[in-house]
Amino acid sequence: MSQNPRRKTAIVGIGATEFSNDSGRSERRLAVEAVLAALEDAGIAPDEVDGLISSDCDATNQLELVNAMGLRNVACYATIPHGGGSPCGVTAHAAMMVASGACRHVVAYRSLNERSGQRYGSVDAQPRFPGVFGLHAPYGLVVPGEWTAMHARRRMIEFGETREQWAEVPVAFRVHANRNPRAMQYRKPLTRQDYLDAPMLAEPLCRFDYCLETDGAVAYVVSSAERARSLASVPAYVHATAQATGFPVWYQTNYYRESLTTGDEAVATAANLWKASGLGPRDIDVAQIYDHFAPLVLTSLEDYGFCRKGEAAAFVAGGRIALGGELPLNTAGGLLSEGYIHGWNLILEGVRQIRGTSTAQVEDVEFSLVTSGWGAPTSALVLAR
Amino acid sequence: MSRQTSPVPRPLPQVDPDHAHWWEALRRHELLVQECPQCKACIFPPQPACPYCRSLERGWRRSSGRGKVYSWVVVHRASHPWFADRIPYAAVLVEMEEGFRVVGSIDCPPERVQEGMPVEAGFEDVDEQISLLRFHANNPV
Repeated sequence: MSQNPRRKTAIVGIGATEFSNDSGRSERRLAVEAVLAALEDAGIAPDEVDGLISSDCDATNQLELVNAMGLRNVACYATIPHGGGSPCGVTAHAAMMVASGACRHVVAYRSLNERSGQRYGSVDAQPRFPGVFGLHAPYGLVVPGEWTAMHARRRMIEFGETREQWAEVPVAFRVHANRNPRAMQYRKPLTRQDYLDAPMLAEPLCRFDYCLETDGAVAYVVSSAERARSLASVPAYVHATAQATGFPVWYQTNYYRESLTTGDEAVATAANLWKASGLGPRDIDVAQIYDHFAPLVLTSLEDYGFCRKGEAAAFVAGGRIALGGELPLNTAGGLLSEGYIHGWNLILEGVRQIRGTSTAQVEDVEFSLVTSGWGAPTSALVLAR
Repeated sequence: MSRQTSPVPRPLPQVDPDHAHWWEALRRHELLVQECPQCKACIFPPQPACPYCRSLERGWRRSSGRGKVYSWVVVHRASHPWFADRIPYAAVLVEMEEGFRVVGSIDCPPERVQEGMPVEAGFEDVDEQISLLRFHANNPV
């Protein structure tokens, strides 16, 4: 499906709570705080909101937000599936809700107590695992880090990659987080040696390869480009969006398809995105690449066409993905070092890069790329000045 | 791996109609992989129909049980409490002779697992419904 809203819509407001280990309040409350902040940023009153959209993993459904905020005029609402693969797909659908004329102002929100509440990296003593999960969980591959180590190992086997090379990713993102007072790891430097010395969790991955676990919420508002021009904020135009499942796709394990080092869903999403945008990797000034696990950033860079398969370790070497480098990535610190709002905070940072308000601002940004989770049916978007 | 009972139950599959053949065969110590009777595609994980020719007929082929290690993970900090006193443990992804891949445990120490290592399917009986794959390491070294 073509999803090409080229500049018909814009993200006109962004909001977030603090990112912490323990928010001390409900996910509903966090959602309200983030949504109010986004509306204030846009200069839009709650009564003007007529669309609501979130991801399937969110604990706060649209009805709860309506009741918590007294939203009286919601006329269209949607939930986009596939967890970490969904965030840019939410933007895609929000943009379509606006571009179709169904809505004037769509609020997108994601709220989670992922550290103090239900942690994705641990499980209760769940006794039975359905479908394909039953094919790996009984052998001790139960959570995402354990699943993903299999793919990381294949990068070592196929491309001869080393942990020394992988270190470039978490260290660069941490440097960016150290400039960002909102980041959970703001005051925590990370050296290459720290990375190399870290004990293995699910070998070959260590804790610095894993994203954070975070309590917090983010929200943003999508409006028409025409309305955006009369609002208070600097619009980040939705230049193009894309979703794709690829085939076959097995939620975040993908052990059964041809390659473990190519994401069919990411390749398909990239093809859709470049076609819809009329752009290519060389046109991108700054990117937020979904970083649930550091080595998968390398796979994503290849799948989106920034370099050839197997060459991403060389692509990221020597500070090329750090601020001042050829393609700065995850400039707020990413999911590895800013916080893990299931990929949604990457969209906010993509907007800041267009506005010129990032704490690791790239000069003269025209096109800002955001991608969602590799390994699940996924999505991506290009924001434009 | 017959150990003392853990305080938490072992993670096990929820057997649904699409996967029933696979698990029933494993319980008989057989490896049955879905093969489309019409287009002969090898289909794994099992599907309710053939995703290639859309035939609604399902067929099954016996696997030789032989394969090679394609990738593996060594878990040093268990996420599921049942594995807490079993670390470090390896889970292997094996490419079978018929071309499909499957996850299992392996009967050698984690540090001996290598890419391309030949393995043969073995079976660990868990309860009346479930046997799990536990590969034998036919390691020449």
